[in-house]
Amino acid sequence: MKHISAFLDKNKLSITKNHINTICDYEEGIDCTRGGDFRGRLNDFLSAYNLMIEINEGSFSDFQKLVAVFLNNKYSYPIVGLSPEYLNDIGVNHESQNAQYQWDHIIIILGTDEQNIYFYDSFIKMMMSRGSLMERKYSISQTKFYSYWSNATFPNWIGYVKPLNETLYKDYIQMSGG
Amino acid sequence: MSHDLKTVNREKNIAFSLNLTTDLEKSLIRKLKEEISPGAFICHHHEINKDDIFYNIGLTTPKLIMNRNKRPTIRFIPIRDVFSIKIQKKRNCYKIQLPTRSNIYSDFLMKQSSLISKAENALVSATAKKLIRLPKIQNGLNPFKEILFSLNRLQEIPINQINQRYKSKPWMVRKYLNFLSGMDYIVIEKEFIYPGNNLSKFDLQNQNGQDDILLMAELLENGLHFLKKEMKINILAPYLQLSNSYYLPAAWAGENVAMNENDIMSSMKGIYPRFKGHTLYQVANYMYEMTKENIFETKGDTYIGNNEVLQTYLSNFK
Repeated sequence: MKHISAFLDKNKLSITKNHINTICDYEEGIDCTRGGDFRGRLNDFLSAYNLMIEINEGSFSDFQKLVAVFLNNKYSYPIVGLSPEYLNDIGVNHESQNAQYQWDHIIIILGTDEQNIYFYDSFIKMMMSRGSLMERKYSISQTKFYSYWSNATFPNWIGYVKPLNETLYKDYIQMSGG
Repeated sequence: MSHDLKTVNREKNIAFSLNLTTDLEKSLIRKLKEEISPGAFICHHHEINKDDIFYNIGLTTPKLIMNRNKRPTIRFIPIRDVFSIKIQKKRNCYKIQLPTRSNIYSDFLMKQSSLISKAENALVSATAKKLIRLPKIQNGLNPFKEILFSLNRLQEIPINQINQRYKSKPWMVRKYLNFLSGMDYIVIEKEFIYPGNNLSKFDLQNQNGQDDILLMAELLENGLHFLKKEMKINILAPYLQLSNSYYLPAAWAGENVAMNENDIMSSMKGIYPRFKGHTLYQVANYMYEMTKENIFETKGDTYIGNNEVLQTYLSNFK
């Protein structure tokens, strides 16, 4: 399995929390933006490292693409957005509310086997450090994952960092029969 | 590389257009969730004419509710009518212009703060009779108590006697009297004060009655914001902020929850972000005092709200 630190070291990439918050236009309580300006600002930063952000969703994203991204050592781990029903799986109650009220929950995908998806979720880490969760859980079944991923406000949303100007990648083309 | 992105972006008006063939509300909400916040939602809309529509937009904000008896809960709290947008129907598209994100965020904070003030009012109504038994609050309200109780007995007091009592800070006397007169507890006439309508309805001479408690509870409830803002009587603040940091999440959960001191402190950071915070031992002490007056009860190492307080709070908060 590749390591996040290896990806950062290889690309000599570092950024402060304040700077990334500025790029994402983060505000306490209303979170970040993810529109065109955000991508432009992030790419302004990443281009100095010959990197760029790639974001796909809906019919431009699928499970094979997700696997291809985390298998490719030149790419960062992918981040994905899940519907908040996912929270029930990690030990936090979430009752469905008006669909417009709900926020997608962002996690980083680390790997998969035949049945499960393995991930990192900073929210779990924060809850564990406060003694608010009984159990640390960093995997869910692929079936559940797919349901939460496709039922998010931005269905099948995936974001990752890749080398600048690199387009389609070999693994994905092979898997999708291209 | 630019490090001044925030200023450039946040002060910019966001404008975009949507295709006429799209489902307007669906596309609009998606765009707002991308450009403003994942919590954007449509409150309502009204059409000015066939080509212009106003939409009122709210923002939800996620709140984590701790409950040591159960699993924690996440609720997305709706803050309604944060901003409005005008949509113009053109020949081949909808033209949409939004306020700057910076303005939207300021309005969000203001609306959120007014929701918290409303919750505080509801909580003071639900707990006033208990709060005024707390020794520190009694001390803070003592100047008013002295004036009102003596006046009830004597029926008139020369203002110069009150001036003598507070001769080191004479400017305060005018503030005290104006406050009590504004709430109709006293009437000021020339150099004397007399009982006002709101004082005369209480029977403070009956030693076995509850009117003394009722009077001070009413004064606290009705004068809350004046006491805080104009008189700078902040003795109530820690009790109110700590109890609201418990009861507001409990109201969101719809039931009394079990929280320890750390949970209450974390909740407080979310509800009162500007507040510098108390130390754990201060929180433990304030909670002890409020538990003695049945605003809370303890269960193991957690605090549970009083059922009657929660029900009154919920009905006041609607």
